[in-house]
Amino acid sequence: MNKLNKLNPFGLFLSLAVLITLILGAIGLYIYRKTGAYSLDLSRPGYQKIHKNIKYAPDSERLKINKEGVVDQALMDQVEVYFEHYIEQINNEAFAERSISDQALGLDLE
Amino acid sequence: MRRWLAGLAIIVLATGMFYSRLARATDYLITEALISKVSTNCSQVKVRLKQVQVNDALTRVNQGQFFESTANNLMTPLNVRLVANNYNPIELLSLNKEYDKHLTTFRQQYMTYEEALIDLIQQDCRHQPAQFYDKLQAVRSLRQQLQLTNQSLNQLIQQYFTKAKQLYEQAQ
Repeated sequence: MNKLNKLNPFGLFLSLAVLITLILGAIGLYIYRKTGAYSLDLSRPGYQKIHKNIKYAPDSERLKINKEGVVDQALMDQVEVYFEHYIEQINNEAFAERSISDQALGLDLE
Repeated sequence: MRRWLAGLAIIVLATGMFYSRLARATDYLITEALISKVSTNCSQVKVRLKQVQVNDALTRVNQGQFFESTANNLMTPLNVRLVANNYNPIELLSLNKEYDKHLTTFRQQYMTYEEALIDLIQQDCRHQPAQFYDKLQAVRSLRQQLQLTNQSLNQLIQQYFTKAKQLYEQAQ
């Protein structure tokens, strides 16, 4: 206890601040990895060049069905247009195996 | 009797292990020529895998965004509106639930796939080509699962839309 009293209070404060920062940083990194947020983070090194290819639309510009109102033919027509809009943009061939096939990697033996 | 049973258990275990190894070995064929090609083309293969990794990250972001948007902006509000207008959209709710489950699976499968791909890129393919090819096969399998989930999500959106139309037409 005597030794603790002899410590410089400012030094103690700085050490504690650094320790707390390290702990919080470690928790933050753990959450970043564990939740998969890093998979969506295209600002990571090596990913910046594709950053401009993200098809981002602000929430206000996205096609939305209103929760309130009647259910009539006009709504169903709107639903059809909106669904087709989303379906068109979803790539059904995403993550196709051929991208990492032996041929694509230059490992085919023929 | 106990000795006899223990002996039998050991034989069953050994046979199981032998066949599982045999099955694994015949899943794909690693020939000497292939191992040599992996080792020779190591840097080229790694460059290609890194390109795939970057392109996949972009695909994940874009696909995920459309999948989330479809659920939040189309399915959920339509369900609410149908219920408020005294429709009984049980099938739509169940499809929506199924869709949410697939979406969670999609996120998890992508994380597992990306980790395996990073691990593969870090593997030494020049000096350990066989291990590299083993890992490549595992990554291919994870990628295939991811593609199937991606396709299931697309199908579920189309099913949801068809059912919504049917529900409205039946009520008329």
